[in-house]
Amino acid sequence: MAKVESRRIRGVAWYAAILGIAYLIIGAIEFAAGLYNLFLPGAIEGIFGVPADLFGGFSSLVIGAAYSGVLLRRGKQESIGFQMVAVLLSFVFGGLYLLIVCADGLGTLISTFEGEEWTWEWLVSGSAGNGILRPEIWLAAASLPLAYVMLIAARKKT
Amino acid sequence: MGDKLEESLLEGVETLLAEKRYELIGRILSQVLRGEKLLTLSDIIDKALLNKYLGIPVFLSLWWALFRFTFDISAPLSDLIDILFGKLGEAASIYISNEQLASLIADGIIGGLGSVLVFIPPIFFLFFGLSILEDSGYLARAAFVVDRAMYKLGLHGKSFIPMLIGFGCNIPGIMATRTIAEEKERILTILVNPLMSCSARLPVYVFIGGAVLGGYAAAGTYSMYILGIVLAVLLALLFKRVIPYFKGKPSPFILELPMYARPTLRSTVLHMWERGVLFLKKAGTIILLATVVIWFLSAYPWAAVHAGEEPDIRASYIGLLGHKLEPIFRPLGFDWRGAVALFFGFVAKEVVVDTFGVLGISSAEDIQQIFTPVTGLAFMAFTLIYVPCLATIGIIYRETNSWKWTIFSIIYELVLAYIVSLMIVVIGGCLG
Repeated sequence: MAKVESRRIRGVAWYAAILGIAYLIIGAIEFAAGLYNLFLPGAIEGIFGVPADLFGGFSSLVIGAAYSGVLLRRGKQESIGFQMVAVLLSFVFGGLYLLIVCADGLGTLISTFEGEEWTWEWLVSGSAGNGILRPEIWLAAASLPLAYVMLIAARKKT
Repeated sequence: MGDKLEESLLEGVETLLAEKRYELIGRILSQVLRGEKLLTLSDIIDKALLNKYLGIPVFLSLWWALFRFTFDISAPLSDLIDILFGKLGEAASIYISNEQLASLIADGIIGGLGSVLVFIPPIFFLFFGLSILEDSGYLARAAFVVDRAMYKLGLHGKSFIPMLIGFGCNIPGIMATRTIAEEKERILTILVNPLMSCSARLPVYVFIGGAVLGGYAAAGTYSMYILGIVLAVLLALLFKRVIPYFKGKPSPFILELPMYARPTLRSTVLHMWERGVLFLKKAGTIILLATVVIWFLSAYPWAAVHAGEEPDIRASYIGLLGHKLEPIFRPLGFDWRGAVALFFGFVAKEVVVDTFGVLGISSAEDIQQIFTPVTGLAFMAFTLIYVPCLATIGIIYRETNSWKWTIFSIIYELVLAYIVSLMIVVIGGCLG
């Protein structure tokens, strides 16, 4: 029983670490491209479908660091804390970008009332960079299993 | 006696008492509890959120999320209000036969006030986000993590709570400094509090940034808030070094962190409404009055302004004032319209946008004719830093009870605003 539990914990830690690495890579690309654009505005729109976004990239790096902290922390309780914060942040940003896509859609709808032609462009381009293709939205979805594990851990605590 | 004890102990009596109290609690707990020390959910989350490396980056990330929420998600709602006021203005021009009355209603009240009311959605969204952060218990943690950095810089950690309140409005922010016992630390906090970007500055950032910064508009707004914090810390440090009155070690900061809580929709909406409704009241009183005054100054002398087919605002009283002010602002790249907007913004920062609205500058194309991305950013920075609104100046005087500090606050902010804006223009110009 203890062996199964230990394997489960290790599995969760590795899953968190993989997500952390994904966030770190995406964050680094977004941040670097955003920084480049700061000096040469509009030079890079995105790299491999990852948009140029200086502060968005910084936020993804922070999420990646929080996920990676799971492996670096020695104490079990501390690891859970890092994981909880990482999951929470990934939901905040995933949800935020999804809401931005919806707001872009509403903006397009309002424009059609003003006589402009309706397009579906807002789904894949707009304020969130590349709309629903924004990697953070999908990474937030990939964080769902961890959220479930965290929810159980939180319920045990309260 | 207390002062002598404090001097001899170097640290405050308050800190010593708190330390002893927690020592006693720890001793009792170790006697009555056995086994592994149980951590609460708040303790576990705090391990990450208060981490010395991750604490501040998480704070900056959440702050960024708040501004994207404020800026991007409220945009279509602002567009709706803009369309509504546009239609109202057209109707007023058509149905009111008296030319001067039509101008007052359409160009003045609807054009001017409408340009400010467009910002109801971002202001309410900002307060909604802030309420979530506050009700969840995170804002107290933000003060705690920033305190650590501020204390290292020699500043009082308690200063950050009034500064956080200042993001909503500088007036309650300055009043909140009453919690700082040490007089010199309180005055120092009051002096730098207006550098916190209050919600009244948000319409200016959205208005100018949205038009000239394109995809960087949210980043421009975010950078103004960060610039405010950085300048407040730097200025506080400078004052401590340069002004003998402020010299000395800051007293330690004791903060009992609340437990995390799940914010309820009811309480969050209630908090948002309580703060947001102040903006609506301001729009119906001070801003409305300012609109009528600015309209009068931009429409008269009537014969001179309306001599041609199109009204020539340059011939109006406001045009004359603007041209007198323009040489001062020319090095910053602001023309006479930017100059008068800043002049009237002294009453309330929303009036900056209101003035542009009355002057007929409301679309992105109109703004792009006045500002480039660099001068637009410089204008945003000037709005952030230069003299706070009239009501805030009144509160600074009341809380410091000194004309000396009040006048000092006005002068240093004007000089700083000019220097920072000039630096943005020069550096931006060099970067092309």
